[in-house]
Amino acid sequence: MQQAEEKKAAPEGITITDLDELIHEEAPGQETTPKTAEEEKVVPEKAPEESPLIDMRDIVKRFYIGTENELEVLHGICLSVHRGEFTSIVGESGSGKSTLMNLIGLLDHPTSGTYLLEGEDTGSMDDDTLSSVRGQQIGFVFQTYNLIPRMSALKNVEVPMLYARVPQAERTERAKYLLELVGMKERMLHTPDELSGGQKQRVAIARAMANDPALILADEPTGALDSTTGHMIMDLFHKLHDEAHRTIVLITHSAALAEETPRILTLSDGRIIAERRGTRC
Amino acid sequence: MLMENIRLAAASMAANKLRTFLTMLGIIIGIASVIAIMTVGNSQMAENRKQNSMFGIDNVSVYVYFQDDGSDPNIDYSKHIPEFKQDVLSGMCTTFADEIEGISVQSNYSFSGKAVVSGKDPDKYYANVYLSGVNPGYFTVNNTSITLQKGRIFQAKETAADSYVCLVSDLLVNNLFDGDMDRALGQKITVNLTDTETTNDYTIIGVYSSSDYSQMFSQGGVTDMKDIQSSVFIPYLNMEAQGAAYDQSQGYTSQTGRIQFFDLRCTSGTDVSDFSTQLQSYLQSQFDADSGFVVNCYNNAEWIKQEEENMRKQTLTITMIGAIALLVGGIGVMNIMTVSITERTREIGTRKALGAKNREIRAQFITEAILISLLGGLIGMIAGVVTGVVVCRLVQHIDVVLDPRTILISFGLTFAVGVFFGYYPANRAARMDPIEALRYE
Repeated sequence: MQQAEEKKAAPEGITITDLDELIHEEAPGQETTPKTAEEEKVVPEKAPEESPLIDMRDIVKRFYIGTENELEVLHGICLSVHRGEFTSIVGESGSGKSTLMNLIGLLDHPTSGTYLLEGEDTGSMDDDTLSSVRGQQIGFVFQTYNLIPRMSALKNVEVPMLYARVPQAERTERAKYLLELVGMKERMLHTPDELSGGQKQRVAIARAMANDPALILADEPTGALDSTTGHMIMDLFHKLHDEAHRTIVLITHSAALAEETPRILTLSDGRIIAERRGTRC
Repeated sequence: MLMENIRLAAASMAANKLRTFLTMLGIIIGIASVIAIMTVGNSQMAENRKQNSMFGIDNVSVYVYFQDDGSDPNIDYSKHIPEFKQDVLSGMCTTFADEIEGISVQSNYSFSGKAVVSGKDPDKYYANVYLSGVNPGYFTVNNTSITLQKGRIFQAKETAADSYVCLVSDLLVNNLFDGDMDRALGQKITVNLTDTETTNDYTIIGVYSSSDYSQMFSQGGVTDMKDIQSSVFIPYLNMEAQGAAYDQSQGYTSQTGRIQFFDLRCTSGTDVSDFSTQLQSYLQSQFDADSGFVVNCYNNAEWIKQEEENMRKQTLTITMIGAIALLVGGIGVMNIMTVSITERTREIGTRKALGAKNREIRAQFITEAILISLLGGLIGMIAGVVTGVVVCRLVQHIDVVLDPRTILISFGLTFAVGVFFGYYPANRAARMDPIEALRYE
């Protein structure tokens, strides 16, 4: 949006740690002709035979099963996300995107269908395994940040590593590195209530990367932020994608936000009704 | 992970200091009462034991008496004098050589009198004495009530009737030798017996401690420590000879050498109660069945056991009351944990999303419950010990016995309370649905 005016060519060797640059600069604009993505390989550098990171087949989710309120929220979702992709799932409220996010994030089980994460069938995993996979393969970024109160930013970033049994020294070292990456090193000893919304979300993003997960799953990450701060956060995601080649799935109700991402899936009434490339990347 | 959990729990407790303290209050009161009662109970028990041990726990007291069956209205009691004859005693010693360590015999005679030192002002330097004839075994058997401070006890050659040696109390040394025990040893004291109107000199060979007062007697209205009567022990046979002379002077039938009572000490490892029963039937069998003599063997062990059992029951009863306080405290912990977990629902959801397993969530909250309990237990333990000490010193006036087990018990109990009452809320936290928890407002 307004940052489109500020666009300029990124110099070589940009460091993601430099927050000012991170805010004001974007990867070179690739205003290519919009394509209907159905037949388009979104990430052409990926070999076609490589198994996708996320491979969901015929995922159905019903709630209140067996009661008269039984409700089918997802009607056979097929979704694949390859490594290095930045995908947004956009949908109105009630479209089932939260449910889909919970399923992608292994917070919930589908009623039917299969979900392979990194080729592993998640349906056969027990709770503990799901917890480990969640902690190590998926980095969550929430709309409401969900930082743990009374714990410093540094400690918050350490939490996923704690559950992954990373030794203390290594944990602290990596947490510091990640906070530097998101430009929060100066404030790493502050607790969440001493941080602004944007700062909290940056800590949350650092935390999401703590265990070097295969997937960053962001649920309305800018939803609680003003537009300027929201852009900073989106820029951070773009950096992570462009420079660190992170696989990111962004869940949003905002079509404008989705337009920023290379691949857009539109969810409506529990079905993916469209897939296309973002117009602004 | 444990350290992390402790740190988290501490942070959470610190964030709600007042609430944490109020929660701990129940635990504090519970533990404090349990510990206070234990301390007082133990001190009381130790005090009782100390008093009981004046008659040693390994000792058996034996006596024989004549039981008149009433069949002869003109019975001549002088024909039925109960005594253990010398051959009975030596037979006993042979039979129970393994069980008997020593025998203590005290003369039936005893005389009161006054001791002075020749060459010193008898109005200033005097001591009221109670002359008692004992055998050397007396000191070893009764060594719990008589502690030798200086010198020695009678040697074998000093047990004869013409042996004028004695053991005196430290009180007597204070009165006659200004407390100088070293100087007192070897000195002669002159004992004037008021009963027999005889005077004899005795050489001091030993000084015993009279601090436990068991050998001190105050006669009516004596308030000055100086006037308190204390035992002077002289050889058994010497005493018997004096007694015989006294009987003769009074025209009584002399009963010298008669042993009706004696104490004996068992060798360590002997089951005293058991031996006491055996001894009783052995000695009884030494008398004719129809003689009317009844032998009685008595030992403290059974009685002490009984008394300690009663004490324990009493302590246990009051401890139960403390346990109820602890139970209430535990429920308080459970309550506050439930509140804490509800407040932290989102945190729990977040942790689960970040890879926490159910058991890790459970461990986190159980740790917090345990920490609250333990801290309460620590404070309670200190309060309990202080209360116990105050009660012992100021109310019961007994020495305090601090049992290291109290530490173990308070930590054990509070740990158990933490685990028990923390488990349910922690488990609820562990089983929270992460989606619901994350959405919780």
